[in-house]
Amino acid sequence: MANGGLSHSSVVHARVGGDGATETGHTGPSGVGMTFEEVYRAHFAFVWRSLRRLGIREEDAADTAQEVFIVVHRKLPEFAGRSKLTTWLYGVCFRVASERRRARPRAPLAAQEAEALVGRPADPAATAERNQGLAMLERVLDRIPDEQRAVFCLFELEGMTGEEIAEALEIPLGTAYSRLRLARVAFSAATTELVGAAAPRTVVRGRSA
Amino acid sequence: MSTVRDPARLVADASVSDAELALLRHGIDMAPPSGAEARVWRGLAGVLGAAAIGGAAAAADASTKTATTAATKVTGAGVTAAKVVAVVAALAGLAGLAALGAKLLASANQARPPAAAAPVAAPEPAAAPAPPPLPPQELPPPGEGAPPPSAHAKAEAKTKAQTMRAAARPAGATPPAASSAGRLREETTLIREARQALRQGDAARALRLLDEGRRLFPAGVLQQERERLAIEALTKSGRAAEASARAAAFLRKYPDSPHAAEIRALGR
Repeated sequence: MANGGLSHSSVVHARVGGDGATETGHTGPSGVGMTFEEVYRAHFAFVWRSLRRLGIREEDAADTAQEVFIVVHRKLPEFAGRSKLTTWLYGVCFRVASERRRARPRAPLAAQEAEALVGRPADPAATAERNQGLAMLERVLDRIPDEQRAVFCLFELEGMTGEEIAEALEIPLGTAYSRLRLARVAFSAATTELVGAAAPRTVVRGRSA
Repeated sequence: MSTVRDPARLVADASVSDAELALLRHGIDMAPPSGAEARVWRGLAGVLGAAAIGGAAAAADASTKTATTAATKVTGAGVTAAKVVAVVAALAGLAGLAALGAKLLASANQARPPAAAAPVAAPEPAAAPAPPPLPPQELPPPGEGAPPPSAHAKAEAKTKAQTMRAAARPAGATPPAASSAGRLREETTLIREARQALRQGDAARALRLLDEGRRLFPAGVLQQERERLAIEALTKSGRAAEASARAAAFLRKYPDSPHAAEIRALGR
């Protein structure tokens, strides 16, 4: 984490690498000394938000997270600690999310938005605003091709470095950078188109206001 | 790790529009709703079996244990520090120094607990004793009752080949099967439904579902869980002989399975 710009990601990265686990003399078959349950506790939130940012809808996120951890349960003994645990986990998330989207294509954007905006009338105002923002973010991210989207989210939202991203997606560093550039262009264009350049705040920060 | 070539993050870029910034903030703040972690864990326990993933009870009080461990450590450090203070005070023979030391100790102890108890979401390894995850094993479809020796030998050979193929894969790689996640979901659903049927007392339905799972996913990920449920279903159906034959076959195949103890109990 050379950048250190985003504190939220340092929480995730804090326990990766296995040093913290091995110093207690507790070594499991994962090779990094963490049991399945420890991996789950430490990285559930990471898996969840990774899936959501990869286009898994809120209502599908629990099922998809469960699928990810079933794969992790099976594969953990093979994880030899050659990469960071989070980059390895992200690889699993990416594959499971791709499969899921292929098996069940995304609902039309308009319907998704309607659900997000109208589906929770009882929510407090702050939650409603957050849900609107998330719905809009999903619409914007949906405009970015999946592989660029993954790089974009890991870099801009998760705060990973270029090298970590290259490792997670098993791509060359240069490819990661070029996908990031393309994704930024697409993100900017989609935001302008969907949110509108003239009045960005009214849409993103709550229509009720 | 060099990150010299990494550009600055968009959130730190002053030229980014308010709309983009707002969306990025929403993305950064994304978090699972409260209760999701526990709910998915229960789902995993339902699919893989609580014993295989470390036990629901251990999970529930992991954070409590972490807090306790942290408190114990702090107390331990405090005791050591107190001894040092006492020795220094005795040597110097100064009551004032002892008071100063006690004051320093008190402030040090006040500062410690929050830092030590912080990783509640990530319990210390020592605080959560859990059995190791399942090794990647491949189980050929077990026959009714004990398989004849020749079939068994054939099955063994097949298992070895599968295991070697699995081992040949680079670490961390998911098998390249195009629809692996989709198949996994189906396999998972069958197991979950079978478990529910069994809990509702419908052992016959459970056995039908498990047989279907065995037919559709002969080399599936959840073979041990499937077989464990089948043995339980046979027992509950009064088919004790079949149950104990299957239990014996299971234990031969998976002597170190997380389910072994339970199977031994069921098969009797």
